[in-house]
Amino acid sequence: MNCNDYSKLMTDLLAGEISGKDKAVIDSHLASCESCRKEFEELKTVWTLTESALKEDFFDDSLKPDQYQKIFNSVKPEILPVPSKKSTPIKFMWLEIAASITVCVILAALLLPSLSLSRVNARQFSKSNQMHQEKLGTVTGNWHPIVTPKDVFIPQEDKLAEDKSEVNKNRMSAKEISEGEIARGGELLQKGQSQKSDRLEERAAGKDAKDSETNAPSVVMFPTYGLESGMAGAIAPVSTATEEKQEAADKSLEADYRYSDNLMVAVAPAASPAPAITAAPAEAAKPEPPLTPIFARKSLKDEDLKRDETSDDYKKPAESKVAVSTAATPRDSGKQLAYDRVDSLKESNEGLKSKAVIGKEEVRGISLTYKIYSLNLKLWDLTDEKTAREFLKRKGANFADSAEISINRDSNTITITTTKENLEKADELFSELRRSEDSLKEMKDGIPFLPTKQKPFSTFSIDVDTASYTMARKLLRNGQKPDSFSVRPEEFINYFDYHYRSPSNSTFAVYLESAPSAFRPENYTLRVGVKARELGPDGSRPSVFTIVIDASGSMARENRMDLVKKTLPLLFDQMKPDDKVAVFVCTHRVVNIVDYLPVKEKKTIIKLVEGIMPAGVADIENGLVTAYDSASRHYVSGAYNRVILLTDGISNIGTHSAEAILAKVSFARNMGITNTVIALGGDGDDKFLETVANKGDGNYVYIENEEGARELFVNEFAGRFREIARDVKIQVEFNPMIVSQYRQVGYQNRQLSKADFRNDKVDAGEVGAGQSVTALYEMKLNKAFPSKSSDTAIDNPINYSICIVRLRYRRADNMDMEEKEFPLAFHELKFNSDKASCGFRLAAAVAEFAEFLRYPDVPGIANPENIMKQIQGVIGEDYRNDGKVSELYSLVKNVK
Amino acid sequence: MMETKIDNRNDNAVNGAVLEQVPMTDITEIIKEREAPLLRYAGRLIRDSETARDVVQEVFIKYVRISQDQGRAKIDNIPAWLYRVTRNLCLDHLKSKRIQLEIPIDENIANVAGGESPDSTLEKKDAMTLVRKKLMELEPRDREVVILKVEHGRSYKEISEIMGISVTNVGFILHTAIKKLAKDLKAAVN
Repeated sequence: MNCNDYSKLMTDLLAGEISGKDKAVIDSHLASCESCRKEFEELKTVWTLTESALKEDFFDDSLKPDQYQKIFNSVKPEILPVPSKKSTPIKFMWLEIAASITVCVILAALLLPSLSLSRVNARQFSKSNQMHQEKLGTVTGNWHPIVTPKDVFIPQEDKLAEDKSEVNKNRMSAKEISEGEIARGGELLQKGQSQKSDRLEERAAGKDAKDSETNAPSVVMFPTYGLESGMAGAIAPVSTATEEKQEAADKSLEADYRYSDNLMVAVAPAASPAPAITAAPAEAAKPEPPLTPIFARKSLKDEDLKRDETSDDYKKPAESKVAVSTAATPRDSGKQLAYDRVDSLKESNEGLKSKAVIGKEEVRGISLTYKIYSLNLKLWDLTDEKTAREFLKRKGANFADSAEISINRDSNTITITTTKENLEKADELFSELRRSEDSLKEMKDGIPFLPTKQKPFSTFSIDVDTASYTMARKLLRNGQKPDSFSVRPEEFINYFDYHYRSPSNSTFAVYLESAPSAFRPENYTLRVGVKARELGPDGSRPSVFTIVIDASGSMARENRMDLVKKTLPLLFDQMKPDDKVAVFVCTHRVVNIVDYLPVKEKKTIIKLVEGIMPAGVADIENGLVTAYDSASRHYVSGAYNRVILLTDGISNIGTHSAEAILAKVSFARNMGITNTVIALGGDGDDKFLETVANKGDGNYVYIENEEGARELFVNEFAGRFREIARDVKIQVEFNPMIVSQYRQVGYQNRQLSKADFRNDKVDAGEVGAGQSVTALYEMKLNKAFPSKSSDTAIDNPINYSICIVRLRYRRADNMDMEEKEFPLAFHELKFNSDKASCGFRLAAAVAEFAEFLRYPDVPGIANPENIMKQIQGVIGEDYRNDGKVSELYSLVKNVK
Repeated sequence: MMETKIDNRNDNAVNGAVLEQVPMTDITEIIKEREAPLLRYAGRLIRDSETARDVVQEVFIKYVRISQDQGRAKIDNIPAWLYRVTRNLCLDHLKSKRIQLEIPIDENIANVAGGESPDSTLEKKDAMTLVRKKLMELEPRDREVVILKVEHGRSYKEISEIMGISVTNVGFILHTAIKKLAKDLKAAVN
């Protein structure tokens, strides 16, 4: 053997793939041969270098919650681990829906009469169900007849499993896995379960709708209320003790919702001659262990939670209307159908896929049925198959002749039977129509008032952006009108200063005020003002800023790159000498010109920034991704870690999808990196930039000129670049005895469900030192206020308040969650709009102006004269010297 | 019940042998243990974290299905199986996008977090940048072998299963690749 022969053995040795004999050989050779020893050392160095270089690259290290859920969904019941005997019974559903060759997904008409029927039935059942909460139940007959499990069709495969299931059940329960041992699995599973059960619930509730379909082809059923829980189930929080208090407050509403909570639901194969979907009390199923799907409710408490999670959803105000009121419009139910269908489409696809693999059965297609009368769009003049086909074709969904499209004028539905891919396309199309219709509706009618009795909670994430106002201002000055969708009232409101006092010894102060609306005197306006502490003892925290500068050709225009070069030094002046700055410049590629230099070397940094020459296209996506990767690697715990993007707009050149960027932004946010998105020029992709700021717990600001930059970098520096609290959420609980209806002004993109409030995994906005945030509500009060009734608990503050505002946030200094409560007592209500404070009147006027711009077609919004009058009023008082307000005045005047 | 192994390399100990069968209830364990390396691998192959997650999700679903339908005895080396399926799905994805399997490694990522003395940090950083550059000069196939061995610590046998090349070939490719890297680095330093 000569030295060359040992070479290969060296690699094997490094790779740990060497036999004992060879090892002895190489060891002895290395001991004797100096050159080989040297070579081996070199190889070893290369190996470790390569290893550390490769391991340095950043990749995600976990899936998303809904993905875990999908994996668990694919697990057949007998291998599912049981979290613990205390937990909710496993809820799952056979994926063998696809046992039939064709699975038809039916989106049936939701008939309100049958809904109320279902409620009646469910109420009758509910008592008996509570007794069997912990039992797994199964199946049943129609609404009226109750059948035993024997009557229910059991698919062949299930029969085989039948014997096993008893055994499995015992085995599983006997296994007593401790909670800690499977902590993660349990958690994942629970997530999965909660989503699953939500879906089943929807089905249960939608079941009656299906009954109304005479020729219902098969399987699956749908909607009604509970849409939101299906969509957001992946992040649905687990019940906590803290929720109980709120639940107690809502107990009175329970009855209205209970009907859907106690249903047992089953799904049977399409071929079944028996009723496909059935519901009945759990009693009926008692004698035997379950075979088919199955879920049972753990406790009423859970249900309360779930119920509210679904009903207290302001974003889609429609669905709880459906659940509680027979006055729901057809449109409302239709909307739900559309959403629910997305979920079910996915599921049936999954079923199909597995069938195709395992059973090798030919899948001809699945179908979708949409309800059409509920859509108001003119496009929906679909009378027969031909027009429908043409319509879909015009919209880019060109189906093969083999696809079946049928229109049923009686039930107002369109059914499409085609391949999965085509259906996905159709699905997108219909969802898009639905979305555009939703916005059209909002534009037409404004934001609807919500009934306090059904939805006492309004929950939202805080937002400190102001870009919408500054951009609108630019357009208005030029005599143009901003696009409705780009006007976000909350960003208008938050542009102005309402003179809230900073708290001295807590993170936030909250200022509540309510007085009659100056524009619609029959309504009351509620102002929620939140003011963050000025920078306190943690002012010494270091900063690590990763700056991304767009150097595309368009940045060469006035007030863009020149502005960046001129004003970025102002930012550096505010920073401490040891704070670190990195600068990435995006052209068609991303160049790191400053690599985390301390600010004391700002001369060098400024020089390097001066050298940026804008030209060509800019790959901002890549820039953001690279900057975020780099920021993650340079993360300094306890510092202000922030990515700052300066751009005049993102022209997607496609290296990274928007979703990929947002995923990265969210990921970084979770590790503590926030962002500031600074728009220049004012013609960028407003929506995407806002989303980036949203996802990254950041700020979205627009700077127009040097003055604006100075405002941002100097005056607002502490507020914009030194966050004091993160994930700041506000929940307003209205007292239904006093407030009959309410609506929030703006914050449409920031709505959260009630349960999100205490789910600390749900992301929300950040607030910087000394920043203030204002939210407005318009309320309709009950005509007669009830005198204090004897059965209300005196210790519940809601009983003597108009509303309670709760603020929940994570302190940026120690990452602790804190929650504070601020009631607005009834006697604090002002009965005359003139009595309201100056700031209150200004906020109301600004909000009105924003809504005037956003909803040009909505009746009832004040005209510019009235708004001007209000602004003039405050200028005469506290705002005499506020340039922002006089500027607003001239803008309103221009509009007029 | 198999003990959870945090370090993938421990699997080498059972190189080639049929792994002790993992109880079905351990799907959560398997996900917990494997998701990060699989996401890493898929992320390298397709450079899109979103798709990589989808792929890995699909892999686990396939695992669940296969192990239930055929019994887990059919999968004699679970990590290798998971890697192989991940790779195949990634290849499918790339094919659908008409992209060649390149497994690019960015040159400019290398940065070393503080803690070390400035000099050695800089040196190490330079060296790593160089390594990354040189890695990119390898054939994609060779690069993949290096990644699977050096980064992921898979055994020759596993790599051969994952990539569909023979065990001897894996050893040979790795050897030439490492040697080439060493040579290039030496040349670059001088």
